[in-house]
Amino acid sequence: MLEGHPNIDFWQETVPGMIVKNGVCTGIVTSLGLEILSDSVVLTNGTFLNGLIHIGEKNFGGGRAGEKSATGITEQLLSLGFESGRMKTGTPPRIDGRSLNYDKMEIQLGDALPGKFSYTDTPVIEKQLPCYITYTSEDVHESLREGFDRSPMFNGRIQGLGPRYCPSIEDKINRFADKDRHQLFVEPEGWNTCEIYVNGFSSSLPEDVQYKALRKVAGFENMKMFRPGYAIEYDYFPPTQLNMNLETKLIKNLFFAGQINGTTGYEEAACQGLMAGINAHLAILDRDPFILKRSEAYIGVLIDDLVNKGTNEPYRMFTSRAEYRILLRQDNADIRLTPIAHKLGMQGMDGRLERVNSKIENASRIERYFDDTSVDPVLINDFLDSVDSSPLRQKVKARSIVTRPNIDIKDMRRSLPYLESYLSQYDEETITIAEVSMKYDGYIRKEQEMVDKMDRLESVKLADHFDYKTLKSLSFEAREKLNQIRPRTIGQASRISGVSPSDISVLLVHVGR
Amino acid sequence: MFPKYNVIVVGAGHAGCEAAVAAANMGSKVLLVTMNMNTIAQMSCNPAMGGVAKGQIVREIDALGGYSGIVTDYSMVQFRMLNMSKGPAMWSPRAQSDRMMFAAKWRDA
Ligand SMILES: Cc1cc2nc3c(=O)[nH]c(=O)nc-3n(C[C@H](O)[C@H](O)[C@H](O)COP(=O)(O)OP(=O)(O)OC[C@H]3O[C@@H](n4cnc5c(N)ncnc54)[C@H](O)[C@@H]3O)c2cc1C
Repeated sequence: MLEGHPNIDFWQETVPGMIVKNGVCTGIVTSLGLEILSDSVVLTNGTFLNGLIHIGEKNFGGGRAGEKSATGITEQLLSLGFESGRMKTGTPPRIDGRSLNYDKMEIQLGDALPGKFSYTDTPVIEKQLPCYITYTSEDVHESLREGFDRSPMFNGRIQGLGPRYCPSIEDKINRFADKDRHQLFVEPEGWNTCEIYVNGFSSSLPEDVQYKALRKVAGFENMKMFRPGYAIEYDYFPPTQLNMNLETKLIKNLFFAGQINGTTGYEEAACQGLMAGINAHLAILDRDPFILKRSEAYIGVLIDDLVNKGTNEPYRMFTSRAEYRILLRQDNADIRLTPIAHKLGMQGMDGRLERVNSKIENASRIERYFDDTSVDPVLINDFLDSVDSSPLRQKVKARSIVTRPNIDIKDMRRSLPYLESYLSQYDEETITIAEVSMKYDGYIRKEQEMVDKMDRLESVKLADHFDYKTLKSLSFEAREKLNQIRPRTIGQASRISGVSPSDISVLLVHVGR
Repeated sequence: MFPKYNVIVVGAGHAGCEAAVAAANMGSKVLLVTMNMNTIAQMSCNPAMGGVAKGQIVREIDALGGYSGIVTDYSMVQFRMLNMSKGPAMWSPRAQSDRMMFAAKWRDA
């Protein structure tokens, strides 16, 4: 991966600032005072900028447990005119797996037929580790409450806003006072360690309070702790200060990605890194920025939300944030995006594009087979009966069976030997694509129509340097927001909070539509 | 001591690692600067990748040539496809990772 790449060099040092001249970033300075030059810089400081760790009444500078925080960058950016904010997040204690009684917990196994993430030839996991589920109780909550007066969350010491969807245990028992228990997931940290992550028990209460309360959890009676949970506060930069390519509006060739933009989560961070890396490269060559549409990828939704709506609490992705969910599926990400990456000139995409093309071709072959093949009642009625689907009276096309609810190809091929023998030449992923396409055809079409409608607004460009203050028929808020965010298209303008449909009509008239 | 680079990436967390490989795979000369090379690609919080909506993102990263999906495949200890009882828009892959293997695989030569 990283070290295997001939284009990547490494240097270990803390970076306290960038070299910025006349609104252009041309490199970095290091803590040793070295100046290293570059065409562009991508900042991915995570939780480290002026990071402050809280455990109970104690707090100390740090970017993560056991690591120093980073100062200098925030201060420099503020002096350059940026605005910064403060957020917080937390993590649960890590404990000794040898001290747990798993008999008192529910076991949670991996899938019997596990999948994987990459569309490349990575291995499928063979042996898996189990996780366990246990619960807190009134007793546990009582124990935690005893420490509330020493909690940095409740005594006002923590100022930053935390992730609403990943609250600490003290937050949960406070906010959901009527719930007498909360679920905890007991997750192994790896193959060769007994360390356990207690998912659901994020806390910044004093370590002795965490310890006492955890020991009251079923199965944790003899629990030994490795590391206490803690909360961390850090600086972020409201992402409305970015262009859609993740370059800052104020400083040319300076890009931000990850938690520094107010997001939370590895996946959210990683995808921004990917986009910033690509765009930093494109900017050097004066090529068009790489922007994914909301209808093309969750990544597009994420960046569009950040830049146009901003966020004042840690932003994480949900399916509900995407308006085109049936198009943005996990099974078709390669079909949606690999051709785009190939066209951009991303290395190593030739073989992968071929793969995608043959997947598309094979999936439509499978669909055609279902269109053309008839199913005999004699052969299929037993199967239909077994899944409570009404029996056939005469032959029908196979497609009309697949599109019935409760039916899936996997079960169907088990009872139809000729179907099994036809499908055995294709891999699971290709069959899934064909199946989803047949079953959800109507929904897919409807969403595609919405996308096309939206795309028409998306293609109406707005001038780069227009002063919206001069357009008096816009609402006051719209004028302010449009001047601040400077949308590239009417579509983008329509998603800015504070820009109403009537403002959009004004803009459409203004550009002559 | 240093040549001039095309792209300098500050920080080697999840964002920094993907930024470095993306720029490098586009053809840029990249310098990855991070305060502690022993913590490249640390999972600061839970040892897991993916989940609802997040799993879709990892698939998208992979489709675009990023490495998070590959690294996860090599370092997982458990895999589950969440929401299989719902429609395909909701299917979401999630893996429990070996924290140390995950970081080591990212750094791998
Ligand atoms: C305590 C804690 C709890 C968390 N809880 C959750 C949670 O509940 N849910 C969730 O989804 N996510 C959580 N996260 C967030 C998750 O870890 C991050 O979202 C993700 O790791 C962000 O990735 P990143 O690449 O932006 O930054 P990070 O992973 O933080 O990486 C930043 C990197 O930059 C380096 N660096 C920073 N500044 C400098 C500098 N000036 N010079 C050189 N190197 C520098 C650091 O050493 C590090 O390698 C938590 C994180 C922490 C620390």
